[in-house]
Amino acid sequence: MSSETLDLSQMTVEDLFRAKKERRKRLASLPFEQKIAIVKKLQTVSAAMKGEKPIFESFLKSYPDFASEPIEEWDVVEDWYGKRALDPPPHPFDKRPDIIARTASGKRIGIELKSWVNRDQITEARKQERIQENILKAIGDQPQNATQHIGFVWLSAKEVRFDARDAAHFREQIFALIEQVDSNWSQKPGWDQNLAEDVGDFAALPILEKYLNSARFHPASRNRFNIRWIRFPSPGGAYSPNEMLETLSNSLVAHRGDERYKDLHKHVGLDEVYLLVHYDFKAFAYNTPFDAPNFGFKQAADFASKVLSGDGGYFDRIFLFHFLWGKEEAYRIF
Amino acid sequence: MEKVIQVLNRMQADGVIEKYAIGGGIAAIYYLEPYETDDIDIFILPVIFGQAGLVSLEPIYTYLKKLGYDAVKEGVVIEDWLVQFVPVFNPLQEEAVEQAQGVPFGEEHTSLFSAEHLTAELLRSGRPQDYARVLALVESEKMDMPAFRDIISRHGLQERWKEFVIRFDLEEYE
Repeated sequence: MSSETLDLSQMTVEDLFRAKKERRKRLASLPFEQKIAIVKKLQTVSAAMKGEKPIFESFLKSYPDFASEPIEEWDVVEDWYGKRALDPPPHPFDKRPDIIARTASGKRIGIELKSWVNRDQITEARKQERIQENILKAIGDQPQNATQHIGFVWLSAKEVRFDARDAAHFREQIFALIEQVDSNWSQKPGWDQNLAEDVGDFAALPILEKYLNSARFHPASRNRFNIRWIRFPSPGGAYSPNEMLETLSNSLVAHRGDERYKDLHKHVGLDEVYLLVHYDFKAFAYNTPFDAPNFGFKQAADFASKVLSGDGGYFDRIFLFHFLWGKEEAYRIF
Repeated sequence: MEKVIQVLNRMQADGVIEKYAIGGGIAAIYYLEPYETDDIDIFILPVIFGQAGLVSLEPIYTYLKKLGYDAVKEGVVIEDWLVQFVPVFNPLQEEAVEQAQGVPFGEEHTSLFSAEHLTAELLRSGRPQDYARVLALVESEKMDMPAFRDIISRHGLQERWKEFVIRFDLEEYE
């Protein structure tokens, strides 16, 4: 274990993936019987959290006044018509939206549930992870940071498959570049020596040119890492909630304009249609966290509200809901 | 799951099936970290054909019904597990059952696809979740890569592997 103090502000996506990888390895080494016991537990948790019913139930507890008046009755769409012996509308509107509710004043409200899960992020992150891993593998064991002026180096990789035959040259050229930047550092004006230096021109270093967009050299005067000091930051810089917020932003914009919900009022006979975006176990388990120091779910909701900027598209109201046991929080964002 | 294995071993002893091996998600969990999966895929030999010439699971279902296990839409529920019986339908699966490895589980022993056969079968199957498992299995370093390459070469999967390697940037495993 490293003797360096854990600095959350410097935590990168790379660190998160490394932690996940180590956890996977540890779990994979468990005895088969123990693994199967975990599978059974996962089945139980998943069954309890599966489906729209528990999500909406929990949302209702967190935000009972979401319709600005009490809810008299509600059901998931499959049960709504059956339990009340009502004729469902023609397909596909017999399955939309996920929840149908009736308020105290008799208003019929439909609520569509969407998860704040970033499937693209998972795929993209895996791809990036692989590219970064291969580059770090090419660099190999990093020696102690013996530079005079460089605290650590952040690399930005091109989306290029790494050819293992380039590994030795890559290592050679990256250390040559570090040495060159370090030796030139003291020749920079004093004020400039405390700023990070970006190098993006690798014309003299063709292997770096092939795989890197740029390298950022952070001054040792600000922060110095002695181990794992050549690394990859998250795309947003130091670990930040940006990626998940971008997902939220993209999904909100996509959902509000989703043609499937156009005229849903008319087809299903609803007075209002709401969208409920929930952050659930899957998002928690498979995506980078949305929160950071001084940035929580409330801030994410404020951000979402700004993204919508008063335009709910085909929805009359939009809510953001934190559906993790013990952490339930809900906000109206439109 | 021990009860399921007991039932499978009893079926084998009673001659209802000649050979079986666990494939799919549960076999992957043997090599990888545990993840959620709902069913147990049991690949069986020999394949039994009914009167109409179609593959029949009737003898298996009849036998299990006598033991009190009813067939549902997708398989048979045995002690909380949905067990799906898959008659082997290609030479790769047949070989995977024939060469399955014995694994202890509690007081019982069962048969599992080897990591190499499992990976080849998942590669053949080719659904996104299968590819995710292939990637995890390759990265787990629990595979005998020459043996795996031999399997995919004998079962015509080299092209698919090549595509997979390129898609997931796995050059070092080529």
